[in-house]
Amino acid sequence: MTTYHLDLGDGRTEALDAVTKLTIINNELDINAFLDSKPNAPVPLWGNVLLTRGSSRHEATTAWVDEVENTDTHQDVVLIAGDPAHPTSRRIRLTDAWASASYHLDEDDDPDAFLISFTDITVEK
Amino acid sequence: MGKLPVSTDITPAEKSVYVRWLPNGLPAAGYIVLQNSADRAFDVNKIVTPNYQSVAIYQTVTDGESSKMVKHDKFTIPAKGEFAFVPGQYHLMFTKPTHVITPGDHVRVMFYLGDGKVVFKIKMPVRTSPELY
Repeated sequence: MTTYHLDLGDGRTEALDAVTKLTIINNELDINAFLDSKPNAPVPLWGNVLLTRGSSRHEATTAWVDEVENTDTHQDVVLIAGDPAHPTSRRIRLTDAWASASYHLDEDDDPDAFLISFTDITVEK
Repeated sequence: MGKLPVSTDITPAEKSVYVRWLPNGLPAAGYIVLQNSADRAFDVNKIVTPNYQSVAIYQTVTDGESSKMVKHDKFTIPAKGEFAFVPGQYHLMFTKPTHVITPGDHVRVMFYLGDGKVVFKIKMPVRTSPELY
């Protein structure tokens, strides 16, 4: 089973518990099936993906979510499929992305999961 | 005790989310289509925002040539279905802003799902028109 990490930049990553609800142009796909399908396309593949955090959390992630939650400051988001330290691990780039919703078990600002919306998705390796 | 698994059954429909801005701190209507992928329905009976003093659920009811707004205490997102806050039907009514809000800002909204142990948070963009999304 492929594990996924969120790339926080500067060599920092956070392991994700699950990457689900990948929706591309209103079609729901399994992330692993998407990776195996040689997905790079000549047209933008816009959509959403839901990232659920694991029990080991990086303190920078909450600040990171707050940053990408702002729809006026879209940025690229990178997911790493497999071991982030391994050079052959594939990187999934979500272009022009932002966190469009977040999920919490209480009212604190540390999200347990968040929905990332993007204007294109590409696999770099 | 550790945290319970988070429910991520609710997602907003693509480009369904905005708050229609009006000048002079007038009440603003919020629109969103909430989609439920779970096999069970969710009641939502508490909605809060730090950006307005109150938020309420209203439904526009048309009777012949007249229409009126009916206030509701809760709504239900059906199993494998959706609940739509859209113009002319249901909408969220935000009243008394806690600070100056202008187009381009965002309104933070928390929906308490089911028994209230899970909240769904979203930043709703403030627009003068949905065409400017």
